[in-house]
Amino acid sequence: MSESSTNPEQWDDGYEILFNSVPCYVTVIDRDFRIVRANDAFHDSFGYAPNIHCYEVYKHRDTKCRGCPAEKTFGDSKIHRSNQVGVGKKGQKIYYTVRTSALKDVRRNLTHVIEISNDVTPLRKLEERVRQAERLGAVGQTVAGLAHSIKNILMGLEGGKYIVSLGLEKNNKEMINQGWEMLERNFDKTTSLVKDFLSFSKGRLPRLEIVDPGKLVMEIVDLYKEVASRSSIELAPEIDDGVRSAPLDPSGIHTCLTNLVSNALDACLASDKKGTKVTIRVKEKKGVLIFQVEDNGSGIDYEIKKKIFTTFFTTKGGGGTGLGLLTTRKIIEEHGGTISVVSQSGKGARFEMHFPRKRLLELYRQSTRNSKGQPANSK
Amino acid sequence: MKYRKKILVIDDEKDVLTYLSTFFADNDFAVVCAENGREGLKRAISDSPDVITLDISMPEESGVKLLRELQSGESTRKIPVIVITGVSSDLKRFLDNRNQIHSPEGYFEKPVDRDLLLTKVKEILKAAKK
Repeated sequence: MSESSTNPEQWDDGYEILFNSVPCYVTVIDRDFRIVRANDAFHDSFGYAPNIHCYEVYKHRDTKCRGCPAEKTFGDSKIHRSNQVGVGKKGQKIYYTVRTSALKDVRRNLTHVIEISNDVTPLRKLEERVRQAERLGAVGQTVAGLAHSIKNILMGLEGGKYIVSLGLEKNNKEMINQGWEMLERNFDKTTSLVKDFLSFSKGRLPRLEIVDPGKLVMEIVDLYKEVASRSSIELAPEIDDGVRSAPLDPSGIHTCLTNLVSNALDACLASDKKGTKVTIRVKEKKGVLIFQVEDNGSGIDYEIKKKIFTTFFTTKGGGGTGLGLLTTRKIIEEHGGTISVVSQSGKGARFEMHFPRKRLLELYRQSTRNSKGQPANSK
Repeated sequence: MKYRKKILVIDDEKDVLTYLSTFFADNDFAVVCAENGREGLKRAISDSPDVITLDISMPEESGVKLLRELQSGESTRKIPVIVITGVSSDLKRFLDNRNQIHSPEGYFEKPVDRDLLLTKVKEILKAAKK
């Protein structure tokens, strides 16, 4: 290859034709980050840009971009890749993936970097449309679920009112009591529904503190031991010795554990077995903090297992709002964790919450950085 | 002794069951209740009700599946079914357009107007008599 052919500013016609026919943006940048050559596709989208800094043309900014792939290539001669958002000549957003490669002269000196970019704007727009549709779908599903719950509550209230009136008409005290209990139950359900819905819809980052996971488990045992003992259900904590303190949102984890334990107790009550037991376990395995809530109650069959983490799904008829497990999953995911269930109908169930410590630590660092950056009186 | 018409109420909401069974009993029906689809099907076969009210959204077995089973069962296919549901009105269109399911004899959304429901039950029974 001749000297002139390796100097991008002196390419001959053959290279020029090839350069301009490539169906992607191609620019050649010198060590000052000035565009010395740009192909037709680039001119069409970003405008003509001889000897102007690449960041001015691509991004309409005055300084170099952070993590600039061209700068990296100038540093190590290697190919680098990144996803970028630029501004086109009409002010439109252009999403592109860029690859940078070293361009050397005959003496093997790295004089320029070639940037080859693919416009992925249509793909991004499509992704955004899909995300939007998913969001709308979720809103629709939530509204439909809420309407379903409200209709059932209204029917319960209507029923309670009717039975009280009938009892009064017939002077039947038992009937009046039955209707009154229905009214009370459905008023309580309204309160629970509103509370659960608000807690579910609250989008917030977990408020992480360094807490003792074993202590959280003991708090839940204290909270439920009386209820469990009244129903002859054994409630047992199991805290492994190796469990260290961890950054968790204590109130969030408290909500998750109460939801799971209250479900487990309900499953024991629904079972005909004697000697029912709920175990709340916390352990550590390969850098993952694991909470388990296990019961030997009625269990969950396959069909129900498929639906338990969906909005407003409940097996408790009048007793549940169908938001408990969904809220639990949301809180766990906000901690970077996951939830799973192992169960067979009639053989009990085990819910597991997994929190990778690495992720918890990252979130904790992030949250302390954010709180330092906030004014003292902000919440 | 006067023969009382028998009605089977299927709903997973205990309060709805109590409400409807009290209402129908007060209107001189013999009432049988079922809290889920499986029990509902068993009751429909064993008790041969004159009419069934069926909730569509139940956790263990969906009411749509039960409706199909009732409509295809040898001993249950002639029992008129009134769907009572808390899910949206699109369900009616869905039921009306399914090949495998005949439209139910009645369709009510919760909370139901009990007088209209009673009128519908009487209408269905009267039509069945003819």
